[in-house]
Amino acid sequence: MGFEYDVTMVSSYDTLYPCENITNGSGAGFWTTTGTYPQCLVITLKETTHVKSLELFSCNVKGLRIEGSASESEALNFEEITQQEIPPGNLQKTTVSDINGDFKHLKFDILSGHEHFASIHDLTVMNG
Amino acid sequence: MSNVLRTNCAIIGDSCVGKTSVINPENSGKNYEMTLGCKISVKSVRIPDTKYKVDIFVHDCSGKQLYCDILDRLWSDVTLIIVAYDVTSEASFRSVKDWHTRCTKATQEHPTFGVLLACKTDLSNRRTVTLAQGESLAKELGLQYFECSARDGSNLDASFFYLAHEWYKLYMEKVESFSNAQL
Ligand SMILES: Nc1nc2c(ncn2[C@@H]2O[C@H](COP(=O)(O)OP(=O)(O)O)[C@@H](O)[C@H]2O)c(=O)[nH]1
Ligand SMILES: [Mg+2]
Repeated sequence: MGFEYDVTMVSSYDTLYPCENITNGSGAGFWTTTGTYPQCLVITLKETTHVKSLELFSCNVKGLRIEGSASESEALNFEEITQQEIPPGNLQKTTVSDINGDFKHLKFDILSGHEHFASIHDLTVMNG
Repeated sequence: MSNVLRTNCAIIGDSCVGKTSVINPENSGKNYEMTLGCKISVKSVRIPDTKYKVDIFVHDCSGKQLYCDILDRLWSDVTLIIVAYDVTSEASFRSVKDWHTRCTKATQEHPTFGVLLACKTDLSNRRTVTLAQGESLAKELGLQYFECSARDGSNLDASFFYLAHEWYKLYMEKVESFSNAQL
């Protein structure tokens, strides 16, 4: 099972597609960018946690950079976990394993897209 | 509260055709001031009967050759274009194709859509490029044709309104496809 977290920062906001949609695991709802790149989303775990892997479902995301921060209070001092290019697809599934770091905040930068708009449907952060 | 969609738009065309005046009409009576490199201003367009507003970040680019490098880099982030010419200048009309080709080349990965804008229609007695010529070129390039005058203020918002609506429609189409996305 995934760790609980809150989405604490987003660079786009449409009330019909709120960022809370990415945490509910049902896959029905999603968060969407509302135009231009880069776009950014920060999640905050309940406490600093040893993160082993994560799984992300998205549409149209191309350049993706994931960073982590162990800073207890503010989301500061991020270090890069991975940066990758996600191939186009209908619903994109991205798994990042072997992260093995202690983090409180995770930052997802959508650096570019396959189309003008991109979405994130689900995000699970795991210790396995 | 409204939902804000964002988009980058470049207004391009030869120097002096009236690009800066379309964005800041209050300047159209003043002496010519050359735009250096690129200036960004925001046009906000509310989409009627919806909760949406579109913020168009308009990049006013210098028509001078000197700044071509900056332009080529900028264009990779541009999604909408306005190609402008002066209806009293056939040379500026002839340049439209070049501007359009260069811009679409740089943005191939993300196809743009845009407007062909005929400026300075208040100068009707000096006009050399006709409405029919403008419309036919717009059709050839796949652009929407608009005319305007920054001097008498006519039709200045029409092209921004059109672009904002197109962006909104594209957004609606895409979120619809996201909600049907499957592995
Ligand atoms: N008569 C007339 N002159 C205009 C109009 N728009 C701009 N101008 C003048 O044309 C010149 C060039 O305008 P500007 O907006 O700076 O052109 P740009 O180089 O394309 O940005 C200036 O002297 C303006 O005052 C217009 O609609 N009618
Ligand atoms: Mg100018």
